[in-house]
Parts: sequence; C-alpha cells; structure tokens
Amino acid sequence: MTAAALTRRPGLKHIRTRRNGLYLTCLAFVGLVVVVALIAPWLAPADPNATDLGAALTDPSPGHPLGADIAGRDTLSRLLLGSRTSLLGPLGIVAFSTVLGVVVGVTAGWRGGWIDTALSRSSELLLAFPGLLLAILFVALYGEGLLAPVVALSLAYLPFVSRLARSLTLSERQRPYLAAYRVQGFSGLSICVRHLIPNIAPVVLAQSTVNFGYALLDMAALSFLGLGVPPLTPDWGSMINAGQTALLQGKPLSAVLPCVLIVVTVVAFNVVGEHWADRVARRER
Amino acid sequence: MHEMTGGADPVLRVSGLRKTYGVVRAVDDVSFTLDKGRSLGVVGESGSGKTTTARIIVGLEHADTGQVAVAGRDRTESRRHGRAERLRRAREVQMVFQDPFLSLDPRIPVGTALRETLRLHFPRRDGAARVAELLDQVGLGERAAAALPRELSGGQRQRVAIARALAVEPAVLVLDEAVAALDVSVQAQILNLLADIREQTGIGYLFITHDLGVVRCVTDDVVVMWRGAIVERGPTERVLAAPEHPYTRLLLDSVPRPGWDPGRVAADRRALASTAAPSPSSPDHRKS
Repeated sequence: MTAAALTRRPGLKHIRTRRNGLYLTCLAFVGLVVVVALIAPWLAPADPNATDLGAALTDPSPGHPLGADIAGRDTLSRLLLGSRTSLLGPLGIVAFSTVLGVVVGVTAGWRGGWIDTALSRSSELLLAFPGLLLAILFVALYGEGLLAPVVALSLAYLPFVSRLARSLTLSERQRPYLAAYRVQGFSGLSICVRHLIPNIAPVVLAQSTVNFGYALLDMAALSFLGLGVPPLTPDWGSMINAGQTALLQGKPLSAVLPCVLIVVTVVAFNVVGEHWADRVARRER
Repeated sequence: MHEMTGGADPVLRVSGLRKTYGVVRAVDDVSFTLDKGRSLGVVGESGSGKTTTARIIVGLEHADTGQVAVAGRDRTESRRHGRAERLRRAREVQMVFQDPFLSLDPRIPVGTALRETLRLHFPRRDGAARVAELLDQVGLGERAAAALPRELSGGQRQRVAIARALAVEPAVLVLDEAVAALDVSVQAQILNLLADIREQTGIGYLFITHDLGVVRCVTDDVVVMWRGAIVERGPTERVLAAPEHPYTRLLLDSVPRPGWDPGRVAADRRALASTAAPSPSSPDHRKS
C-alpha cells in the first residue's frame, strides 16, 4: 500500500533491485560527497577565489591539478568548496519540506473533514506553481542569497511530501494499534508524534532522499542563472555558468566537471532513495 | 445469577443504543447491564452488530442515540476533549482487540509500551515495579519487557495487550474476539488467565465473541445479537441448554460436531431469514 505512493519507474527496476552493487556504489559516492563537503576547506589546495591570471584556461598542471577557469581560479578547489553550497541548499529544502510536509500531511490525514480539504487544496495550489519560477520570484522579491530560493523550493516540494504523508496516515490510521492508544486515553497529538509519524517515517525519508536529488538539480539551475548563491561563493551551478566561455575557448574542464558532478550526485541520491523506499515497501508486506 | 437487569449499581449500563450506516441498522435498540465483577457475553455472527456495540462502548464510535453509563456516569453525552476527561474515560473501559499483532505498535518494546500507559495514568507511581507486576500477572517473565511484538508468539502478544489494558485499572474490560485469532490450546490458556484476573481484581468483562465454547467457559450471562438487535438474554447455562429464540438454536446447531448436518443448518437459516426480517437489508452487508 505504501509502495503505490512512491514513483515507480519500471524500466529501471532491474538495475535497481538485481544489482546491489549499483546501490552500494551510489551509497559510497553519496557518503564521499558529504564527507568532502564537510572537510572541504582542509582539502582544497588553493583559495577558491584566488586569481592566478597566468594559469587562466590552462590544462591540468602540478599547480592546478584540474586546471583553472577563465579568471585563473583553481578548478579543483572550487569544486571541493562548491560541494558545500551545492549540498547545503538542497539539504535546507529537504529539511524544510519534510518537516512541514509531514506536519501538513499528517494533520490533514488524521483530522479529516474540512481541515483535510483546506490543507489538501492549498497544497495542490502550490503544486500548480513551477518550483523554479516560484524561486525566481522569491529571489526577485527578497534579493540574492541562499535563503530565498531555499524557502521557495521548500514550498514547491512541500506538496509532494504532504501528499505522501497524508496517504500514509490514512492507511495507517485504520490499524488497530492506533485505536488501542486512543482507548488508552492518549491524545491525538501524542499518538501522532510518538507512534504514527515514527511508523511512516521510513517511507517519507526515502522519498525525501529522492527529493534531495531533484532539489540539488533545481538549485544548480538557479545558480547557473546567477540567482542561487551570492557572487564569489563557489558553487557547481555558477561554475557551469562561468565556464561557458572556457567551453568556447576549447578548455572545457572547468565547465564539464561540475556538470558531471551534479549529474552523478543526483543519480546517486535517487538510486539510494529508491532503494530505501523499495526496502521499506518489501518489509511492510 | 438470575435476572440480568439485576444488581443495585451495575458497573456498565447500556440503554437504547442505535447506530445506522446509511440504511443499515447496525445496532438497533441494544440495552444490557453488567454488574461489578461479572462477565457478560455478547454473541452473534459477523455482521450482527456486536463489534459496533463494543466500539461504541469504548468510545471509538458514536451512537446515534442511546446511553452508555459506567458506574452511573454517562459517557456518551460528553464530547469534551480535555485531558482529565480523556483519562477518566480510559479508566472506565479498556479494550482488548482481536488481533494482538495489529493492536500493538510494532516499533515499541513491551516494557516501554506498558510504561507509556502507566506514565500517562499514574505519573507518580514507580513504573518499573508496576511493569514487572503486570507482566507477572499475565504470566510473562520480566525478560518479555525488552521484546518487540514481532518477537513474541500470538498468545504472548495477547497477554501483553491484556497487561496494557489492565495497566489503566479499568472498571470494565471489553474483549472483542480476544481469543479468536489464537490456537485452541493457547485460547484455553488465555481464557484461564482472564478468569484468574477477574477473580483477583473484580473487574467486569464484556466478551464479544462468535464462539459459543468461549461463552460457556468464561461468561455468567449472555445476550444474543442478531441483525443489530438482542434476540435473547439470560444466564449462560440456561441460554445454551434451552435456547428460546430460533436464532440462538441455529447458532448452537451451527457448531460442527458428530452427526452434524450442514444442509439442515442452511435450511434453518433460510427459514429464519424469510420469517423474521427486522432489518431492511441483509446482514452480509453490515460492518461487523
């Protein structure tokens, strides 16, 4: 019953379930990216904003292992430090949208009636807004910085989480153990917080992991447009933007590497998330 | 035990309960009383309205009309949701559900579940000692406290469910098909356990069941429900030995035994359905 709430992609099923190796590789990659992001300042060989114009648009060399961009900034250092902003944004989005989405979805599913109608309709209204446009609107209103697009995209991702949480709550509340707690005299709030939410959490978290990949993509798109992060902050999306000229000059490394990293990270998060969702769904049966 | 309307102050008094789902009368003018420390069976097939009656009594459903009073206090009227009111209602009536695997939170170890309930109702008492006492009372060792529900057998889980209900120290315990999901030998153990507990605590039992063997074992009195209404009531021995209503006779005949003739039972059932039809629709469509 919970499996139906998650997106199924039948074509990918064989890759996902038969070859556990792919999952483990992706999990290792996700772990690596997270660790790198945490210790990036100690790993980076150079200041990511130091301009070494002599090295601008050169091939990899001992001084710049992955070359330098058009302003002579070290690509490797920018990639390493860029992982921080690139992961921090989606992390904020996933955290906000998961917490808020669970609150909205569980409230709607548990209370039912007009509260359900009001919450469900308004989250469907949010669904009608394209997330990126909403983010651009927020940036236009509140200026640059990480906060505005994170809030906007959190709102855009909220309906996905709240719809899932609501349908899980509806199926879970049929189960007698929740009725038993009501008979025991526990309040609805404490039943939801202590019993219902922990029991639906695995499925919601698996979905949130999948959302993380999409949020990363959206944030990269925003910073590619120059809206996501403040200038000078290293970020994969803005690196691709800055690398466009380098691409035309025949030294594509500083633009292609962040592209590859984004794609691989998004895929890795999706594979890990879907694997968790599959595992939870199997256990439920 | 003689007359069911009996005692001066019944611990549970149900009067004139009615509940309809659409055009189906699931519970139709049901009244009975349960005296302190007694055990009352509510018998009927699935769809007879007995489970709906039980759910109204514990407060999981609301009756359209009628009253449920515990120790003279009405519990159908009050729709207040205050904490004190909630706890008071919980201490009036507790329930043991049919399937112990579904009625326990799969994530919560037995001891934690019991402590949770004790903390809610008796925050000042020593929880750990009481948990040990409760586990002992239902015949589980202290080691069971650390176990998750899935690590226990069906009978052990039902013991846990009983312990959790007893933790609240209710006046009345409603057992909704509480042994129906268990093996026959385990059923007997649980029924013996329940009999012992009643002797020790003086709690009143309301046994909701379709199983006449269970009724014979553990109830003093019995009411027979058919299509939402009570068709026969009286002391268990009398009702089982000399049933007056054709439906009660049919229930007794439906129990397989040597020389049993399912064809005749089916014919009786058809005859009963055509002669008396108090309900506008067939019982098969009812929520049980």
